[in-house]
Amino acid sequence: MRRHLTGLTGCFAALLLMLAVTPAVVIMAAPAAWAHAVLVEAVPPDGAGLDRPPAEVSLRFNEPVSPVSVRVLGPGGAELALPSPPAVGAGAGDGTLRIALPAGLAAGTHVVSFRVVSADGHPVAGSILFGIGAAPDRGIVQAEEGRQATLLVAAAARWLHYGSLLAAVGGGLFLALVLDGWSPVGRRLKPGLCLGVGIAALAAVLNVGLAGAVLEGAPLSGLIGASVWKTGVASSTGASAALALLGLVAAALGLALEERGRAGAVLLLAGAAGAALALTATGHAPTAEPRWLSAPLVALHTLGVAFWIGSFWPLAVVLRTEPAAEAARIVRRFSGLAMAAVAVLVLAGAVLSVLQLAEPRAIVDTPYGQIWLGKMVCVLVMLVLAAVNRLRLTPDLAPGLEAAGPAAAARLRGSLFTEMVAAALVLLFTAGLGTTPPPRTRGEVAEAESTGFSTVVTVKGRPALITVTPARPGPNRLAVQIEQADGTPLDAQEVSAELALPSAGIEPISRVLGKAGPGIYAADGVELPLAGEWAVRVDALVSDFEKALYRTEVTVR
Amino acid sequence: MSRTTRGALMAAVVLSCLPVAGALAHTTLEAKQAPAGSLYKAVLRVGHGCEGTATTTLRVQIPEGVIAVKPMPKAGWTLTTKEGQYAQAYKYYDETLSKGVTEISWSGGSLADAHYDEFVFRAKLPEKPAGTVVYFPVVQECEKGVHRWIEIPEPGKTDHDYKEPAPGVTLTAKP
Repeated sequence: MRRHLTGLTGCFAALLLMLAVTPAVVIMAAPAAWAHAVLVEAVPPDGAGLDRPPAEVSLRFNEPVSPVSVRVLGPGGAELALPSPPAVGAGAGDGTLRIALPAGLAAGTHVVSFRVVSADGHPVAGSILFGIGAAPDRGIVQAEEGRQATLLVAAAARWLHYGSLLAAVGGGLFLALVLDGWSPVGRRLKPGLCLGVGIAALAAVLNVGLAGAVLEGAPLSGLIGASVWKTGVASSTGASAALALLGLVAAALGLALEERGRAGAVLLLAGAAGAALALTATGHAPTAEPRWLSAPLVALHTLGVAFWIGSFWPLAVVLRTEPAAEAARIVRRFSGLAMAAVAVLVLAGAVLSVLQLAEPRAIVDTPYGQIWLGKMVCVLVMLVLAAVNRLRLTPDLAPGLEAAGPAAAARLRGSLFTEMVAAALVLLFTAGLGTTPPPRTRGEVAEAESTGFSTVVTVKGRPALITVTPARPGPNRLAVQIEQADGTPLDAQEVSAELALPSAGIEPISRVLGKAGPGIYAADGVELPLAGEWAVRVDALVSDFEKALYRTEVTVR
Repeated sequence: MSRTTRGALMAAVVLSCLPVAGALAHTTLEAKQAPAGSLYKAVLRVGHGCEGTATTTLRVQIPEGVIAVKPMPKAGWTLTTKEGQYAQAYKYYDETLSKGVTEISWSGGSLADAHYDEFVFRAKLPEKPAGTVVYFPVVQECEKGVHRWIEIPEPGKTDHDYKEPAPGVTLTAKP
C-alpha cells in the first residue's frame, strides 16, 4: 500500500511538472493564443471623406486576428463582392487585416463591416465608414440585431462546461489520490462519475457550437447549421474542447481500469491534466503577458480547483455510506491533500488576478473588476467553510468519539453542500470573467477610442502612421510610428515635426519627438491654437545622411 | 516692439524676398552644372558654423554612380575616406571599378563661424540624362550642434522649400 502510494505521489509530481512545461511548449508552437483584440487603427480612418477610391482597407488590431466575416456595402447598401479574401499580416505579432476592395468603387458612402476573432476565442466586430467624393453618411448603418439570447446561452454553456469538466476530472483525482487503491466506496462512486464525464463531454461539445455562434453573431437557430460549428471548431475553443474531450476519454478509461491499480490511477491523473490543458488553450487568463508565467499558472489553478470541487460529491457519499472510522480516515486524508491544492490554486489565482487587473483601481471601476470581486467574495466564503471543515468538523469525526460521529458527519455534509453552492457561484463569475475584457487591455482600448486624427504617409516604401490626439484646438499629442519597407520598426536617429496653418498665417511650430517605443516617436502638449487644415511635416533621420520626410494635412476641429 | 524684434522681422522680410541670398548661407557646391560623365571638381562652400560655434568636421556622402573620387587634403584637417562596393561595376578609362570611396571626412579642424572655407574633391559624374541632379549629402559637425545638409527635394519641389537642402549639381548634355 505504502509503495503504491509513493508511486502515485511520484506520478502526481511528474504530472505537475508536465503541466508546467506543456503550455509553454504549446504556446511556442502556436503563436495564435493572445488576448482580446482591439481595433487600433483603420486606413482609411472611420468617417474619412476620400477624393478617390482606396485600393484596400487596412485594419490594425493590437494583436493578430483571423477574419470570420468581412462585408463591404456600397452606396445604397448593396453588398460588394471582394476580389480576394481578406489577408492577415504575415509578420509575427502583426494584427493587420487587409481587405482588398473591388476596382472602380462608385462615389458615395461605403461601409466595411468586419467580424474577427482573436486567438483567445473572442469576437471583435465593428464597422468602418468612408465616403468617396464626400464625407460618409452615418444614417445608412443599421444597428446589428441583438444577439443577447445567444450570448446568455453561451455564458450558461461555458458555466456548465467548466463545472462539469472540473467536477468529473476532479472526482477522478479523488479516486486516484484520496482513496488509496481499490475500496468499496470507489465502486459506489463510479456510476456517478461516469455520468459526470458524459455530461462534461456533452457540455464541451455544446460549448464549441455556442462559441461559434457568438463568433459569427448568429442566433441560436444557427446551431442547426454546419457553419457555426465549423467556426467554433476552428477557434481556440475548438482546440480547448479537443483537449477536454481527450482528458475525459482518459478519465473514463481510468474509471474503467481503476480497480486494476496503477494504470487506472495514471489515466485519471491524465484526465485531470487534459482538463487543465483545455482551460489553458483559450480565454483571457492564459493569454496575459508574460505568457510563460500565466499559462502554467492557469493549468495549476485549474488542477487545484478540479481537485477541490471534484471532491465535494465523493466526500458527501463517503460521509453518508462509510462507517465512521473509515469516513474519518478518508476525510483526514482529503483534508491534508486539499490544503496543498488550495494553497496552489490561491497562489496561482492571486498572480493571475494581478496580471489581469493591472491596477487596484480596476477592481472598482471596470466590469471585469466587479465580476472578479463577486468571485472573490464567494471564494472567501468557500475558504472560510473549508477552514471550519478542517479545523472544527473534521476533528469531530475522530474514531474515539463514536457518539459524536453521525452528527458530526451530517454537519460536515451540510457544510459541503453550502460549499458546493458557493463553488457554483464562483464558476458562474468565472464564466462571466471569460466574456468580459480584462482591465489589462483597457489602456489600448482607451487609446483606440481617443484617437483624434491619424493617417498613413508612405515615402520610399517606408510607411509612417501620424496621429494627432485629440485633434482639437489646444494641447495635442503628436505621435509618429515609422516602419521600414519590410515592416519592421524604423529606428530613427532623430525625429522632428513642424506643424503650420498657412491659411491662418501660422508659421511652422517645430517640435522634437521623443522615442516612445520601437519605431514610435511622440511629443505631448503640442499647441495647435486654431481649427483648420494643419500642414504637418515629419522629418525622420534614418541614417547619418538620409532623412525621410513625411508631409500630410491634419484636420483640427 | 524691441529693437531686436524689429531687426529680426526686417531680416525675415529681406530673407524671404531674397531666397538666393538665403541660399548663400547653406553649404553648397560652387559649380551648379556640369556635363554628364565628366570629371568634376566639387568645391563645397561652408559659410557658417552651427549656432555660432566653429565647424570641426565635414562629411560628404558619395551617391551611387559617382566614381573615381579623390578628395583634396586640407592643412589642419584630418582626411579620411570610407570605401564600399558600388551597386554595379562602372567603366573608368580602361578599368572596371566595382568599389571606391563612398564617404569623405575632413575632421579635427576648426573653422570659426565668422570665417569661410572650401572643401574640395574630384569625382567622375554619372552618365545620366541632362537635367538629372546629383546630390551630395553633407553632415557639418560643430563644437556645438550639427547641420545636416541632406534634404533631397521631393518631386515638384526645389532646394528653396527646405531648410537644409543637400548640395547638388545638375547634369548637362555631354559635349
